[in-house]
Amino acid sequence: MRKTIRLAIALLAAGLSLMSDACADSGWEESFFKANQAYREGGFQEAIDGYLHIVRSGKGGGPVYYNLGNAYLKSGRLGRAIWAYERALLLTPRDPDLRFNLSHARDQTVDAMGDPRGSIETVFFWLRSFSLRELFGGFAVVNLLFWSVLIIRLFNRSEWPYYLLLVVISLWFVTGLSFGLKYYRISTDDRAVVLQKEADILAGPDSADTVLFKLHEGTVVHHERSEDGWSLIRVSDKNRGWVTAEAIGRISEDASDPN
Amino acid sequence: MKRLVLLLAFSVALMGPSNAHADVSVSLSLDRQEATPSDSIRMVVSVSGARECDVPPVIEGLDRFRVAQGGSSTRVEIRDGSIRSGVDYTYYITPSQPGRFQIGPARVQVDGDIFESNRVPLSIVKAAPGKSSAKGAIFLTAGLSTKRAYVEEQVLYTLRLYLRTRVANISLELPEQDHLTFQQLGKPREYQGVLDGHTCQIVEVAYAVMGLKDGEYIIRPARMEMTAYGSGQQPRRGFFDDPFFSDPFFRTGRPVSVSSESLELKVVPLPEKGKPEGFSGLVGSFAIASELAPAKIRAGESATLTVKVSGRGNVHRIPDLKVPSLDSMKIYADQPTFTAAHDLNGLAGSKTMKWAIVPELPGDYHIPPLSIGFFDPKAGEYRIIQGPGHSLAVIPGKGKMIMVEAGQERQNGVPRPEKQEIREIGHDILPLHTSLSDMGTWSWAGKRGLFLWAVLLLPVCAYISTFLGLRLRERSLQTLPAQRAKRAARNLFRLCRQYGGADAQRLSLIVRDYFNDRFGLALASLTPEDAAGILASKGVAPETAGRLREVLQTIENAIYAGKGRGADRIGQEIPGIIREIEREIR
Repeated sequence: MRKTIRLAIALLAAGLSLMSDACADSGWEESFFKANQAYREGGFQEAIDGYLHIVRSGKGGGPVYYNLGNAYLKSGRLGRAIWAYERALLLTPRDPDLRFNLSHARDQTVDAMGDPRGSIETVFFWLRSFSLRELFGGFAVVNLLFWSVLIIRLFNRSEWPYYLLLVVISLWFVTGLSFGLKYYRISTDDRAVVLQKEADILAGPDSADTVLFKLHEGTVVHHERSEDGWSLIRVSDKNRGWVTAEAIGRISEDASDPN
Repeated sequence: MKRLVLLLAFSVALMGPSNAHADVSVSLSLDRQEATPSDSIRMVVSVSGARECDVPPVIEGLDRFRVAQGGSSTRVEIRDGSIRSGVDYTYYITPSQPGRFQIGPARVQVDGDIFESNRVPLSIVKAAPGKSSAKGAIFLTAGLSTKRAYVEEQVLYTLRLYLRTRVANISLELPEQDHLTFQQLGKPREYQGVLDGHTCQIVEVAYAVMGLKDGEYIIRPARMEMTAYGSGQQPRRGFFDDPFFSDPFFRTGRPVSVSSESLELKVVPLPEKGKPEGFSGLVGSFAIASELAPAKIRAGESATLTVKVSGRGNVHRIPDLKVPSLDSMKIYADQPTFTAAHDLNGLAGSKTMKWAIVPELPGDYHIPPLSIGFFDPKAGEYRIIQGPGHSLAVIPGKGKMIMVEAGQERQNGVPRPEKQEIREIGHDILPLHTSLSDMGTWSWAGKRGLFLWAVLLLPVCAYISTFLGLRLRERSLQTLPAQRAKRAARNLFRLCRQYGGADAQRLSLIVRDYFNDRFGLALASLTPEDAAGILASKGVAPETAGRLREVLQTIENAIYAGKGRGADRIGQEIPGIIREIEREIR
């Protein structure tokens, strides 16, 4: 009897939790539709505020960042637009609209940028086409299959589970490695976008230091570290320097959103 | 057979150009533009598009020259995928007096049609007697086309290397300096000349010099280094008087270095007076041409406006022109194309700009002319040139009818029109995403994170559980007899404690049940002999088995005859014997 009561309480708690999630979901959906409407009516700043509210409430999926990039671009803020598109690209890498708009935005940048593709992306070329979530989903399915075949092998030692196990082990290795590499690339993503129209890159973290070179809005740089409101960035091995932290926006999902 | 067909096709291709005279062209060229009266100048009349002329070329402007024929040669060339044939007539002309002359045009007659060539200027200057001989067998001269130039005006800087001996490995050190740029004009040319009555080899290289800033410049001497072989004297004829052995490879060279004279160049700034608005810094001589095609279109279709600015000078300064916005018209600029080239007269080039013009409404439109300003250094003033204006007639668009017609044509089997390259005429981003799918984010923490970990770890847990369960089950089967033995002994001890002093009949049943449980038997009754035999077969010592037999015998006597020891004492004795039996079996 006691067990039955405990089970009922647990089910009730789970139901309430799901209901609270559903209520929260309906709130961000409304914000999303309002922001879309504001965008259509030309209220780009209102749309930006709406999308940022959604993002900061933890619901920032690829479409929200994509729409945010559109609103930024329409309001003439190229750097922030590229930042938002790059974030969207992490979440929805195969979105053709996103790739088109990002290419359109990149065409408007002033500074020449090289191909940021690393050796890992060159060898594991499919990584760029899948998001971390998709790779995890694939790995989870193969992982389930792998352990299921192992369980079958405990009861059935015939030949076909053995060959099935070989195939599944290969898949498990490939999907697991892909997922691991993608996770590594995302967790070590040090890219940042220049947000100001023109940013002075200085020799040190002080406004009195020598200006080494200038970068323009939308240029993608590598962020090395931050100190006291300054960030050390790298464009190439020859072009490194310090810039004010608010002049750049980090693309990594773990980084905070630019103000 | 295949070879025959190929040969026939090639012959036809060769014959073709000789019959088509629509593209016959004639050009006249000299191997230099400045010479002395004692020089022999090589002149070539090139006829393209015909393999022979009706009569030899007639060349004007040679009244004051002695002319010697150098023969003719035919040629076949493949250009832009088409085969063209031509013939070159070579002449050597020797001037009789100094002066400035215009050589040409050369007239040729091909199948009754007369074709004319270009004219080429030629300056004949007096030779400086004795000066060159004082410089030795190798010397270098430098010259400027003018000593005064405007900023970014091209000045020709010509270096001539005079050689009376054979040299090799020539290297040049240019007198480059700040605010002066040197652009080489083609490859060095080699020709023969006469200096002080002696024939010498002349190597000429020309540069376009441009002053980027006003001021007076001293162009330092240019320097050439080379390896010289012999002095140019004729050796005695003998066994080794063979051209093969006169090759530099078989002779010892000596390094030679020669320098030209230094030159002065005054660069003056461009005047402010008359400077056009938005002047791009273009200096030289330029022309503008424009074209609008087609001149009649439907509303919504596009016409292409092409403007080409070409000329000679600092061509990289040709600006990108802009078409002013026009009512009811969308104008999309294409990427301009720039080409640059150089010849003996300096740098030349052109920039071609295109716009797609899309009228939205029918009517007659006027495209205003586009203009460009540049500074003409010869005239010393600014000039503004403009192309022609254009008229564009726009008729109503077809709208959806175009699609209907295309469908009918396709149904009737009419071949579809050729595909066109897709031309981008607008730039904009694609619209918002309004779907709520794919909105979720996830991380390794939180509720969803727990779910993710569960998805990863549950199969592992399931496998481990199954594995452990199977192992446990296996182990249980192995220890079943021992467990049964323990359980049988425990039951016996408990029952003896409970019913030990009751009666002999119950004690007999307790011992029988112990045997059945302990050894997996199903005996209905147990005699003392049977019990002793079972114990002996299980490895129990005969003494212990005998003790139990005696006890069981006593119980039987008590049950069936009512004699012997009391059941209470036997009930206390049995557990001790059983413990002994268990120890011995283990």
